[in-house]
Amino acid sequence: MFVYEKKLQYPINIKRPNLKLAKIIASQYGGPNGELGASLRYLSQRFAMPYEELRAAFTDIGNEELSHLEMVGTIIYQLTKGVSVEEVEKCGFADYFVDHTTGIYPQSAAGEPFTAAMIASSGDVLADLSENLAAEQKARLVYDNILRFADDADVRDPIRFLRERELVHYQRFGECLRIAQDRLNCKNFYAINPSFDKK
Amino acid sequence: MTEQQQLKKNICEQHFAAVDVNLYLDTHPHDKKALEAMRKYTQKYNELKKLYEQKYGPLDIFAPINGDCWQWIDSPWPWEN
Repeated sequence: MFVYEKKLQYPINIKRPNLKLAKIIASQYGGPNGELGASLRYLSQRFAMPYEELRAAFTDIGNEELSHLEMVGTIIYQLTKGVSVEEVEKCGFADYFVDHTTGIYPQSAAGEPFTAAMIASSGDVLADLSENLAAEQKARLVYDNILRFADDADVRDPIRFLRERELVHYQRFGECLRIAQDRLNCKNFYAINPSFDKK
Repeated sequence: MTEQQQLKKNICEQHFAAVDVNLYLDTHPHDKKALEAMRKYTQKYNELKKLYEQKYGPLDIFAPINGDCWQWIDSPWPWEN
């Protein structure tokens, strides 16, 4: 069950709209390495986790990703607030604007709408953990790429925070992998899928 | 920064510290030092949250109800700067 808390995980207070940046950062809302996919990935995978440490970590990391989805939405909202049609046209934002105005819609920077094909949930602890380690690194590199374009300190600060969290999640998933491997057959990690096969 | 904003910032700091230690404890459930840190952060968070909700309004829908109208709907919402 989830309860809404009326606050952000990290403060965001952007004073200058920037449509070019908004369009790039939108990828972390609904793009292939974005926060929506991250939250759905972990919160779906957790049902098949065979060990209690992993059930907890997947639940809590998935839950944190929802806070990050809200943060990215907030960044886009504030970056697009109060802009004129002239600015929309000048900044190359018209192709987003025509369908969504300045509403928040989950899509990649290139305009591909969010799809569940961007995530995996395999029912296999080693496959899911390997997916998640890669996913955290891909999210980290997207934030690194966003930082190449963002020159506004009000934007860079929360983006840096989000980048840092990818590193922490990567570390935790690495520990989950170690825990899982320690409990599998040490001569053959793949001898059984503990979520499915009976020993 | 107003007194309300400062208090909210303090709450968010305690909340974040607890979230981070929680993740660590998920994979290190027997770490006494981390457990002690979690105890400290959650205690402080609950104290500050109670104080904030008495003075300024609810942070979740289970907060004590003040006055005769539903303050939950009051701005600012988290995305509003």
